[in-house]
Amino acid sequence: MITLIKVEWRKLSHTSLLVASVMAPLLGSLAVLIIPLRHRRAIWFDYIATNLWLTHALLIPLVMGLVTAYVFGREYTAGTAASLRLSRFTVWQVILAKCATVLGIGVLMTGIAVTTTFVSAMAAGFGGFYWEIVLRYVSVSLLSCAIAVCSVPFVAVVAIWERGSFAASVLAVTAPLSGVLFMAGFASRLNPWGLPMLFVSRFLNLVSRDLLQAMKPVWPTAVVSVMIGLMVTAVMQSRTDIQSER
Amino acid sequence: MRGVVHSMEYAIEAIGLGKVSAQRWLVSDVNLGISRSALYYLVGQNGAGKTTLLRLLAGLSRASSGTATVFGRQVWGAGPEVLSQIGFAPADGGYYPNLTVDQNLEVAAAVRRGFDRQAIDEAAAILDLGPLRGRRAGTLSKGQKKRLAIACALVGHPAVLLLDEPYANLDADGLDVVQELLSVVCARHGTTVVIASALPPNDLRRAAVVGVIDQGRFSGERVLAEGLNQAEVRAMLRELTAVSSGGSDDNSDQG
Repeated sequence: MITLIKVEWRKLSHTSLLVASVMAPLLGSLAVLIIPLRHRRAIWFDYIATNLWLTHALLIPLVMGLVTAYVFGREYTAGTAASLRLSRFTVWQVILAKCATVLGIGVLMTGIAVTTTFVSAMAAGFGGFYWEIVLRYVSVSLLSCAIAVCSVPFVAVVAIWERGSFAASVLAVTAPLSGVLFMAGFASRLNPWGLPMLFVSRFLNLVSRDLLQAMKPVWPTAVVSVMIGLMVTAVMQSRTDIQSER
Repeated sequence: MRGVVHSMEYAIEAIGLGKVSAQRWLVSDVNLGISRSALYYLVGQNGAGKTTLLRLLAGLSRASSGTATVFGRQVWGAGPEVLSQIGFAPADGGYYPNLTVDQNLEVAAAVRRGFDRQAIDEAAAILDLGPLRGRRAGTLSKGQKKRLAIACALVGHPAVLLLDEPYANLDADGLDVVQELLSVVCARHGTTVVIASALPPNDLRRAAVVGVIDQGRFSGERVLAEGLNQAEVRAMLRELTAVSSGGSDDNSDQG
């Protein structure tokens, strides 16, 4: 199993997707620096909220979905699915190794996002530190990661069904975005039915309020950052394709 | 299929094997037995069902009727202990274009029998990939890619090697390399090799059996002696196809 995971990482090592996985959280962390100063209130909350919206709620599920589509769909487009089937591992071991690789990418991106958030927040001199804010940061991160993780099996099934990565990539882009929007919309309409539901609604309201509040001042930056990220990925991928064609 | 008895004397055996797709039989009622260490050419025109049959024999596709076995064990639904004995080189692809030749061979070795530097070096040497080992697979020529795909299938020393159109896009040197490979793996390692191709190559360096498949049906097989030239092979195949179709479908030389 460890061998298979190593092999999967090795296959990813020379792709633009791995570069995008590393760059995306950095992009989110750096994007905050170009936010107009009038929107940048000198408290840590805004910085974190901005960063987590960009990286966790959008880019991490997006890149994880694309990586899922790639690692599953690529075996069919490259004609290597047969060699995996005829290996010393079972089909389930192969699938689990691929899922573990995708989760590894998610952990890598989250680690980079968290580290760069803290480092750049300190370097930029943002003041204010509240445990409540940290808890919100963690809860939003968990929610976004959960959406990303939930989308992985769906994207994988589409890639296997389609025997390629195109439709799965489309799903990978749309699923996390729809998930985040759905959760935000759901939370705003939820009423507290009983104690358990109260906890859920409080949690979701908290999360969605933070997300929407964070989105408000930074949406142009968010859109531009995502566009740049996608363009860089597309250009690098097309270069790989051209090299492959040669 | 319960009740069907497969012989252990064959490396590969198919009994009543068939595959239906979109209400059309791609391959139907194929019965064949391929001996151990044999070189077997599965020939037929485009669309005859060669690739489908090869995939059924490898356990990559589920048969609609009949069974296929490797060393007496059914391949469809078999575990890694059976499937890892089969090497398969598809007609297209079979390698990772973003990895180098060496990395491709390492990945193939890791998933098949475990990392084995000696096996990798041997596969690269047999298929004359030595000078290309540092190059990305995506940047190779089509013939070189074909040789790489065969090397990836070969790297784990499989007991059964299935090659789909291995001669496509190969120049004279490439053909020579693959012919040499077949002699080596059959004679030295005792590998059973099945090749799906429109026609056998010009010079047979080893006695082989040729099975003809025509419109999804198995027409029959003949033993080809070592050293037969292309004209003699074509004449024999023409005769085989004519016999199987009652003399009305004499077009085996179009491939």
